[in-house]
Amino acid sequence: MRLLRKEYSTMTDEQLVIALAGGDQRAFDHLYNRYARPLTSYFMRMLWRDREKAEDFLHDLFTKLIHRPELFDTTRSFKTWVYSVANNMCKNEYKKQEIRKNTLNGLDSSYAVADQSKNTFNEVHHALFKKQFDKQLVLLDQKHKEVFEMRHFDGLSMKEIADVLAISEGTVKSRLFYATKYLAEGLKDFSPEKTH
Amino acid sequence: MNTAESLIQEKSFQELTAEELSLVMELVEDEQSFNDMKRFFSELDTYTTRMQVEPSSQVKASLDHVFRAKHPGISIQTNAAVESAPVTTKEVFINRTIWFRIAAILVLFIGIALYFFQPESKELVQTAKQDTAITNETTSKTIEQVTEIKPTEPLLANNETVNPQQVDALVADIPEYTMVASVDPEMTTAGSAISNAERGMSADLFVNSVKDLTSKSFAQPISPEILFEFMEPAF
Repeated sequence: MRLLRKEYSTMTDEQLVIALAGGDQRAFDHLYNRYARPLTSYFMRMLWRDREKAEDFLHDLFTKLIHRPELFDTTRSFKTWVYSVANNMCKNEYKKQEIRKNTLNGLDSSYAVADQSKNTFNEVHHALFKKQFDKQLVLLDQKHKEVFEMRHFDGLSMKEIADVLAISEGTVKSRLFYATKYLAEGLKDFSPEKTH
Repeated sequence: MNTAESLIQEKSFQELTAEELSLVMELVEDEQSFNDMKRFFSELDTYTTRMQVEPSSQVKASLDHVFRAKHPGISIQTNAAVESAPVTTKEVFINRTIWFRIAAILVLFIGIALYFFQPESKELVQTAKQDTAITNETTSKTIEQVTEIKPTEPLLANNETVNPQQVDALVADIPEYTMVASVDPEMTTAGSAISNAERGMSADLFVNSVKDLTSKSFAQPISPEILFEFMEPAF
C-alpha cells in the first residue's frame, strides 16, 4: 500500500458516486462539474427553454443523489442512470403541465419563460441556422426528436440512448437515421454563404 | 467506433473505403448529399456547443449546503492524502463471521441444557400418561354404570301422575333401598338436574342402594324418572 493523492479527475463516475455516498465533498464537486452543464442544457431543451425551471430540476436531481445515493445501481452506467432520471422528471413535468394547461383556459405558460438571458446569437449566420433548425425540429415527431437530441446535444451513444429510453439499439439507430436525414433534408437549402 | 455520422464528419467522400462507403450509404445517396450532410453536422456541432448552458453558481452553493447538512461531521480536505488501497470487497464466509460464532455457541449451550433436562421431562410425560390412563378408566366405569341404570320400560303410563306425599309414605316400606337424597324444590326437570351435577354443582338428587354400595361407585346423580324406577317395587 502506498499513499497517494486521490486523483478525482481520473475516477469514473461510478467511483465518484461511491465516494460521494461516503461524504466526500470533492467527489461530489467533480461529479457536479461533469454533469451540471449537460444536464442544465438537457433540462432547458426539454422544458421549453425555461432556465429557472432547468436549474430547479438540476438542483432536485443532485439533491436526490446526495440524500439517496443508493438509488443509483452501481452496476449500471451513471450517465445512463442520470439521464433516465432526468428524462422521467421531464415526463412528470409534462403531465403536470398538461393538467395545469387544462385549468388555465388554454394559456400556454411556456410563452413567458423563454430564456432571454443569454443572447449569444448575434451572428446572423447562426441565428438563421437556429431558426431553420428549430423550425424543422418542431415538425419532427417526439420519438425521433428525443433520440436525435440525446445523440447530438447530450452526446449519448446509441446504447446509452437505448438504455435511457428503454428501447432497443436497433430502434435507436433507425430513429436517429430518420431524424438526421429529415433534418439534413430540411436544411439542405441553408447555405452559410448566403448569410454573408 | 466508426459510425456513419463520424465518418461523414471526419472524412471526405474520396477518402472512404468500400466498407465505409457502404456504411455511409445508409445516410446519404451520393457525394452531393454526403457534402450536405457533412455541412449539416458541422453546423449542428457549433449549434449544440452554443446551446450548452452553464447553471448559476447559486445552484452549486445550495447543493453544497445540502451536502454539508447530509454529512455534517466530514470536513473538506482539498489536498488531503489518502490511502490508495484498491477498492476490493473482501469476501467473508458466513462461518467466519463473529455473529455466526456467537449463534453457534448459543445453539450448543441450548442443546446441552436440553439434554440434561430431558430425563425429568421424560418422567413428567410418563406421569401424564398414567394420569390419562386412570382418568380414562374412571370415565369408562362411569359410562358403564350410567348405562346400567338406564330405564328399560316406561315408568308411568301416559295418564298416570305421581303424588309426592304418597311417595314419601311408601319410601319407608321399601326394604331393599335407602333414600339418602333430597329433591331440590327449584329443580324442575330431570335434564337440568343431571347437567348441574355434571358441572360440579351441589348434587340435587342421590340414590344409594345396597346393591350400589356393594358393587360400584355410589352417590350418582340421577333424575327423578330413574328414581321412580328404583321405587317401582313399592308401587
